[in-house]
Amino acid sequence: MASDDAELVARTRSGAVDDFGELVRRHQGRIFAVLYRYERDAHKVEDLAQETFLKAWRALHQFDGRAPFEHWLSRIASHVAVDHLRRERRHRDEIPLPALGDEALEWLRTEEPRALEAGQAAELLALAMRALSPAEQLVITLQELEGYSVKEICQRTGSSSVAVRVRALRARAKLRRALEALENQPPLKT
Amino acid sequence: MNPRKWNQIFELARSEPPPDPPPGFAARVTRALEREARPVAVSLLEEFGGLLPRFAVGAALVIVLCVAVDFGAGALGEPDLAAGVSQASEPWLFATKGF
Repeated sequence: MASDDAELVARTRSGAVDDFGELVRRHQGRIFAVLYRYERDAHKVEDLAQETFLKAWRALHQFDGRAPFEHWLSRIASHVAVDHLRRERRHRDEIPLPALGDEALEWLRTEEPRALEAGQAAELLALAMRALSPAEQLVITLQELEGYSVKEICQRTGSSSVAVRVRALRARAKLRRALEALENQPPLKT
Repeated sequence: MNPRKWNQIFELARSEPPPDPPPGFAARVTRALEREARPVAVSLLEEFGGLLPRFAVGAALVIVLCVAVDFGAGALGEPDLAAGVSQASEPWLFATKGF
């Protein structure tokens, strides 16, 4: 019978590294999904996922079991992602715009109903998100993409409800402006 | 930007499937953990090097103690350390009649 997470955590604490491997196997999909909201490069996501699990392993003594292990792990992943965004901030303009493709920009510009792929929408959003600070990106990602409530975001980030609301409002306004700027951008030359 | 597009872009982005973890990812994490958990072999010289700051602090404390005793002895009119050492060494260093 498969052990539950709490049992595996207890065994890992007593030195069983293999049991932590089982925890990694169970939750790696979720962690990749969380990190992919902040970083589009699959290789970087892999490195960040490894960093997340290593941090979790080091901080395992702090896991009190009140929340499910996956929630605790996702929170670590969010912190790892924000730290990564802070490090990458200075290089953010080096990622080329043509990677986005003309179709996505055309979709933004036109009022006619057109189909857009999920990947293109995510690319578009990722590009517009560059205008936001890492803390704003975190709030808007948690709220709009992960579907968390303000109360849950407060618990995850340790910020007050007012701070989260203000940050979300500011992030939304910045994101809207960034998308509008993309809308008004001349077509890309291929 | 109209609200319909705003909502649509988030809906689409939410529906994008994340990349699958590569095969062997858990094993890679476990190997990194084992490397981290393994105690690093420390040579005798490195261990001694690690103790050097403590030796330095100990030596400094001894020096401070000696200076304080010297001052104290001087203030009480007792012979200071230098005089005490020469007095102590006199009987045997310059002994003419033997001990």
